[in-house]
Amino acid sequence: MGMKSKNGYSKFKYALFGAAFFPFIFCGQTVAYGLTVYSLYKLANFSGGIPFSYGAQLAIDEHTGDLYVIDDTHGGVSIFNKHGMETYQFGHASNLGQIVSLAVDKDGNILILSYPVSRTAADPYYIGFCDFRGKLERKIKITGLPRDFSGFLPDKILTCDGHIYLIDISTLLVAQVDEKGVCLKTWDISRLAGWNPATMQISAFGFTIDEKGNMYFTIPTSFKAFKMTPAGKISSFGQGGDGPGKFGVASGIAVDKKGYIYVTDKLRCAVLIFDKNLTFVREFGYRGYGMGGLIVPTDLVIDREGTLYVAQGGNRGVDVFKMGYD
Amino acid sequence: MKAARIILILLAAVTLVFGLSGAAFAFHNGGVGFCEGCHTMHNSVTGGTVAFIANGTTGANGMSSTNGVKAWTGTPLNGNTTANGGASYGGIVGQGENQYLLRGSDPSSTCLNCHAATKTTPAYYQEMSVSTGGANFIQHEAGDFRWVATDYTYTLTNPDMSTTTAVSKGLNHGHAVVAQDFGMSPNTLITAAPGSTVINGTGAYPSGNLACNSCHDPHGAVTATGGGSANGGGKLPISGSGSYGGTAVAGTQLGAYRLLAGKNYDPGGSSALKENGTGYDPTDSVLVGFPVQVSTDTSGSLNGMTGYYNNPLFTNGSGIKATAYQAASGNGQNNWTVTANPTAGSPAHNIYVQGMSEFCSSCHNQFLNNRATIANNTHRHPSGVKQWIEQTGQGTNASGNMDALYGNYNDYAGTGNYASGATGAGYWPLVPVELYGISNSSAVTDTTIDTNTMVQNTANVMCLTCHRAHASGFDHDTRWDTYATFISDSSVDHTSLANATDAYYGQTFGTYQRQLCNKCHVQD
Repeated sequence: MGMKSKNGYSKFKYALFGAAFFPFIFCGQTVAYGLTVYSLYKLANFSGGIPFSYGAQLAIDEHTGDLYVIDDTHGGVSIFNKHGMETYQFGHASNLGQIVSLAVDKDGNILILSYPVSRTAADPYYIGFCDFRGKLERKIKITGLPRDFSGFLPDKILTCDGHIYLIDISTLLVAQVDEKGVCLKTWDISRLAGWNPATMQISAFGFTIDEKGNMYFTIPTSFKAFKMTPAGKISSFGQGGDGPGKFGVASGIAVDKKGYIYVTDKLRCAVLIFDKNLTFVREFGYRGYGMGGLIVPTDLVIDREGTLYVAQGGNRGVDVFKMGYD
Repeated sequence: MKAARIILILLAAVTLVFGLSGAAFAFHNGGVGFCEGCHTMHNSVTGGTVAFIANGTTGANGMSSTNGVKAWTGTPLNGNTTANGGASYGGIVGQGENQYLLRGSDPSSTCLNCHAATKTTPAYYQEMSVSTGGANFIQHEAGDFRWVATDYTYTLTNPDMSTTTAVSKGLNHGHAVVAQDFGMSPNTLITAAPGSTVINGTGAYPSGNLACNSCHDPHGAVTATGGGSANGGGKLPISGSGSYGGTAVAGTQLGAYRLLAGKNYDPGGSSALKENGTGYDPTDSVLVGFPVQVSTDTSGSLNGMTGYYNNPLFTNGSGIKATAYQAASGNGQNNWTVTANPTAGSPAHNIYVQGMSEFCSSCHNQFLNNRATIANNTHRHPSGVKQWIEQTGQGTNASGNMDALYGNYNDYAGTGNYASGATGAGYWPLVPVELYGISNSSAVTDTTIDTNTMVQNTANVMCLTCHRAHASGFDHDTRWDTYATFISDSSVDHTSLANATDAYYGQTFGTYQRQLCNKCHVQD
């Protein structure tokens, strides 16, 4: 560990573990070494760090760098600028229902996936387009889902390349829709993988999509993370265990612009980093309250500049890190 | 050579633990799981050491001890001497962690590392979701701990018609376990277990000590088929879960239902926990060493997510939703016969056999006839072993063929739907009774608890007939809203109907269906 001044701020630099001992050649792949993480600060307002607790959901606006946090404990959405300062809140009013996930499209619209106040079995969710203040401008209804998606109940929304992706985490069903809600394509991941839901617990925890449409997700009970191409080819990576590079309870997952994959482990309280070849590269974090320590890390997102946000339990809020690609 | 053999054995063990999906899905598997799932072998926080600090003394970094427990002496967390700078949680002093080398700040936080879901992410056999409602809302019979983590504000109309903003405290909705990593704080509303008085020479059970392991033994010391007592070994190997009936492999035994604690269980921690917690040691000769129940979840321990437990909103792996117990709307009747179901048979529910009330009485002793020490116990609702649903001397019920309460339970299908042999009459999982006198291994196939089938006259009323084990959407942890005249008017916050469907786990009712006390005490 040591102090280092970089990009105008003086931050704590962490020694990285695991493959750091084998920085040049690892499993036949040339590993990009020099990957460094700097601990910056917590998301805050003028009263100090905000103690978001377990279950906070994160979303990033790729164009502005604004971060959105859905506060599961108190409800509503907080917006932060790229310096980690809260600039706005919305969604506390009950007319938006229970916002369970959020994404920002290329036009800057805030898309919310919400369970309405008067939720019914026939109408259990809606997709809402909101302006930058969170004011609901229109709702869309999803049409054109295939028959075997009759039980589809999305709990995550993502955007990629002008399309909206809705994910049913529990059943690993994914629907790609356009801005009018018309279904364009679907993926039944468990079927593509040949998994039998009757004998295998398939529920994912983390789920994200990169700019090429590759999907990444974690299934904690399998001690693995997965990558699926748009064509449906599925690869797994990671293994269970307690040492560096091993999964205790794999949780959130994110991908940066260089193809590095970040996976939180809420049992080991660490962030594991894999390269685009799905090879473990580095990890950082430990269970603790000190600098760089994490408590039950769950969701995480990373922006195009390498700023990494990690949500935690224990009223620890959202820690902000900066990746250095030396 | 010997070293190579040891390495091979270790590799085989690692493969068994992590390499096989089956092992991954059965962490407890009826007994103790692999140690590193919950503990660190050494010290996990900041690499410091754990040291013993004598009572009343102050150790390194200002850490102190009140019970002589081991406290963390590493770098202080945020400079605090207790977790979050406040009172110690779960009787744990210091950082609130590492007293038992746990991987959470306290015992419940350790459990919730696997058993807590978030709004968009379910957990394996989740016991606490983050949101009230939604796809990942906990569906198990015992209820979702989330109900106790949320306060419900509502507008109260006063007698003079003025209004006041009132709060239905979440802490009053169930067992408020302490799990600081997950935002679950000690119960400040109810500081001791209701109905808890002096047991075994100690005081009432303190709410601040309540944790998952107050009721569940994570090490599975007591077993379903082999009995057991206290912590320790020397028993037959546990070959599987005891939650689903079945028979143990020869030479082995099954674990206890949901790892419920048994006689002389000692969860560790503070002295109050040891002596007054689930010191389940009733002297009644009719009682077994632990509560007996099984689940009809035919998927067994391999796939908890297909256990529907009454909820029509829950989806199975193929995205199909059950629609069990769907009521005919618009009239006063309930037809809660299963109307659609993605699995064979009925949606999963618990089958209670015996001992649940006695288990609860470890802390709530004054509510149980057999254990109460306060006079006037005739004013107590019967509950427990041999508190038969059939009570003599009460005459016959309206259909004239059975004693009153017993007949009512079997004939009552809903408001305005009461007749012998009526569709839907018989056992109702929302108002469950215990089947006394059968083995748990046979209970799972006992058809007397199926809908449309009469329960036996030896069935017992129990605490869980009216309450949920973990938490519910309503005050006092009741299964239905006792403040609503009509069930359809039920409200988690006494005003809004928004969450009531979730509180009933998707079961719906006719508009004029009245309180479910009527299942036994028909007045409607």
